[in-house]
Amino acid sequence: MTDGLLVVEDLHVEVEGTPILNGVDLRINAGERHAIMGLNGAGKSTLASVLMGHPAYQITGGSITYNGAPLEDLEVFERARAGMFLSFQYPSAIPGVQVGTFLRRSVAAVRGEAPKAKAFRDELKTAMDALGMDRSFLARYVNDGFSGGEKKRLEILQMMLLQPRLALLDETDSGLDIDAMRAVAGAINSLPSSCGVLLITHYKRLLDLVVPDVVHVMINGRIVERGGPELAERLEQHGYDGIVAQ
Amino acid sequence: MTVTRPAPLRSIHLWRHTPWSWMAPDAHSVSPLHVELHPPTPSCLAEGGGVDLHQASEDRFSTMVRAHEYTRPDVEDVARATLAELAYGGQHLDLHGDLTEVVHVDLVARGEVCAGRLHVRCTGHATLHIHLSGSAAWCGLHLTGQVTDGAHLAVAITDELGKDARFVRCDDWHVGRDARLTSGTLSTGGFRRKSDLRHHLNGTGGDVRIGIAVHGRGERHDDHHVEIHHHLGHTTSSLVANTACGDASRSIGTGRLVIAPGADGSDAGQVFRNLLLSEAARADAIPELEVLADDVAAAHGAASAAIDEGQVHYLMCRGLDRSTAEDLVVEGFLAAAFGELKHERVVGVLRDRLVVHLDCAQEW
Repeated sequence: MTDGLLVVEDLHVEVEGTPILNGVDLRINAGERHAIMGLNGAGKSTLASVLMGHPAYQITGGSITYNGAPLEDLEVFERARAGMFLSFQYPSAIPGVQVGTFLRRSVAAVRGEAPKAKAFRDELKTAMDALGMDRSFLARYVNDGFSGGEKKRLEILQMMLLQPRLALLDETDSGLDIDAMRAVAGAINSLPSSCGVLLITHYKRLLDLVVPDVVHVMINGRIVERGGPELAERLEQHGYDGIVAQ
Repeated sequence: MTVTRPAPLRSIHLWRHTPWSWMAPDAHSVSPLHVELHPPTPSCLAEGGGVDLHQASEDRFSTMVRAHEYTRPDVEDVARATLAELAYGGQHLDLHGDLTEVVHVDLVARGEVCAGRLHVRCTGHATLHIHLSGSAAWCGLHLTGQVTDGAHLAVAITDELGKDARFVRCDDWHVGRDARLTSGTLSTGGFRRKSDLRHHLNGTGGDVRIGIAVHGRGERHDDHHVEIHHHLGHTTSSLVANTACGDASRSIGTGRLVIAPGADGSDAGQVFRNLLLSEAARADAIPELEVLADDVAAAHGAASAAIDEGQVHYLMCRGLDRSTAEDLVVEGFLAAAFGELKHERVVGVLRDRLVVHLDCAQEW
């Protein structure tokens, strides 16, 4: 079974000698929506970072295949150009770089050519309107002085413009008010039907708006249980105690 | 002409990091700095507005030096004195009324040794771009200015001197009551550079905002000394100096913020930030405060760091390769020096020049 969009098999990862992931198995096919839930420190964000090639993590075992090819062979920027997108839990601020400039360069890099000015402006306007973002955002410096909600909106705006094949959304719902949550959920739901999605979240409320095909529970660096949307409902009501006890 | 003025001791703070012997011009005939004014279109001139360039009287410059001297008589003003010897006379640029377009002044340095002086007087609202270029091996510029009561002058100063050039710049600016000077400098050209920039807030309500971006490459040496004197109370100032040093370049930024006795209600801050892009690069930032009044707000800070790998990773996650990502971080870091200027036209001029410079720098 190697024809999945993303196939993670027995993945072991450590940071400076400390094991974080201890044998993760995950398979996401094109068009599927997966959610990972779990206690703090379970390794959810680590998994997303490793998938995107963060240099701080060492893969000590297992394999990751993206679109049928080993992911380890790709540099970080090559993963982005190959259609992978990570919405950061804590995106970096880059003072002095205006959002508009950053978006144009990023889109040009991922698409392989600079977008036509007018077409890009129209595209940007449509996406920003959908997210309820003011045009003044474009002149601000990337994430510099942004509130938590503004950062998350900018992440989703990038996702909409970059049109990924696999979207990794790391706690994109945290820090969002109800209206913003709906706007973000709308953006995720409007991704092309072939796009795979991995949602990392602590809360069921996002999963009410973006209904996952599969919910995974991660404990101590392993996925210990899988199920449908009803699993998120069960976790909401009973917490993780029962699963941890098992 | 031979300049025989004795060099100041290196114990003098101003010349500690960049001795005058490194900066003094060699014995050569001196060419005057060519001043070319590109006036704005008449449609941008409000009634009574105008731009005039003419020969300046000598006292335009000596007055400026004397006005400074009473605040610090112990410094040997060798650079100003040398410029006075080399460039007797100078040009006077008069900006009056409200100008809605940028006034461009090109300064062209020709010959081996080239020196010039320019006095700017602003009585309205104006934006000025002074651009220095040319092939001179040594270039000296004494820039003086007066922003009269209630006026607002915004200045962008850029250069593209040759990569072997030495450049000495001295500024003396006086800002009147309820007046504002907004000044941005993009320092990219030349091999060795010493700037001694002094600003005087002479009237209550006066405001000075300074942004300086320095890009070091090769073995470039850039020394910026910036003084801001609050002579009266209820005056405000800010200084942001961002330096990105690569290769084996060296940068020094020294700030001197003086709040005179009785200048209560003054509000001032200065920040120096250094971005070190290589092991061999070196940058020093030394902000100093002399607060002689009781009720003031004064802050200073300095920081040096390597390029932030988190920022680079974030950009790479958006499809930029490492080199492009690092260049964008550097561009942003330098452009951020102008953020506090809060003047769209000046920031636009400086940002455009910065982007051109960095594009060219990749092939340097």
